[in-house]
Amino acid sequence: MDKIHGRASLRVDATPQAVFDLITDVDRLPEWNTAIEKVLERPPGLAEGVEWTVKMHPPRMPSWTSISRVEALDRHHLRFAYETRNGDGNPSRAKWAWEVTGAGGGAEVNVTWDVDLKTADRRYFGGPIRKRQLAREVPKSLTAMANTVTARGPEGTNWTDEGRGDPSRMGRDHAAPGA
Amino acid sequence: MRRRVLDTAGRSDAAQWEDLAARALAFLPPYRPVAGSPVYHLRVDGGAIMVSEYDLFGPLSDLVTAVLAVGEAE
Repeated sequence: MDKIHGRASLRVDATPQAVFDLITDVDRLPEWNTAIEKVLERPPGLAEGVEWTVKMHPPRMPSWTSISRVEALDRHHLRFAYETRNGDGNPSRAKWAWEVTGAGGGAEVNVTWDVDLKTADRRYFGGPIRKRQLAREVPKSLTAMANTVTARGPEGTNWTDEGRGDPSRMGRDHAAPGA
Repeated sequence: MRRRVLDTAGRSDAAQWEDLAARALAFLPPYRPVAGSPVYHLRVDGGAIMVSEYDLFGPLSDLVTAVLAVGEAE
């Protein structure tokens, strides 16, 4: 296995902008991404080319650091894409692309992932394992994301700037919801 | 404590597992436990090592992940 491809989508009862703001809020990733334990480093603002680092910890698996680099951030069309690599220096890469559109008074979220496995071990061992994990994790994360954004109220827009620039929010130790 | 074991005997992919184990054990990190962080006890054939999760990387991380994912409960 050289590559992994996947896709998931979900309808959310919130405005597309509220959904997009949550997805692109690095500080809040551990609240809804069931594989992320905590944010280790983040940029002061999200823009193309900047990076953030998280501690990944899928349930019942060892943790690892993951570094992501923004490749596209289109706040007008609500598109967000980034490339992720393992903090251990493995040359394998994953490209994630998110798109949020309006649908029936709410939002529809579409996410795709394309993983390029560069080493023999990752191709033979890590790839099949991660493929199964992602097939479970991503739908759970989307559901958790929807619950998170709708819990903030029907408009879901009054939280987007919470904590930005507050160093006390760095490195907080959230347990992954599914861990 | 969570235990998983994988017996390569009779597996069609035994060579890949044994190669991975050999690479994983070729360069072992020193044992540096970190409070609050998991420690992994690995037994391969007759040898045994302990490694902190913070020191899991490269083939060692691949081996631990693979055994946890596909190994059988002991």
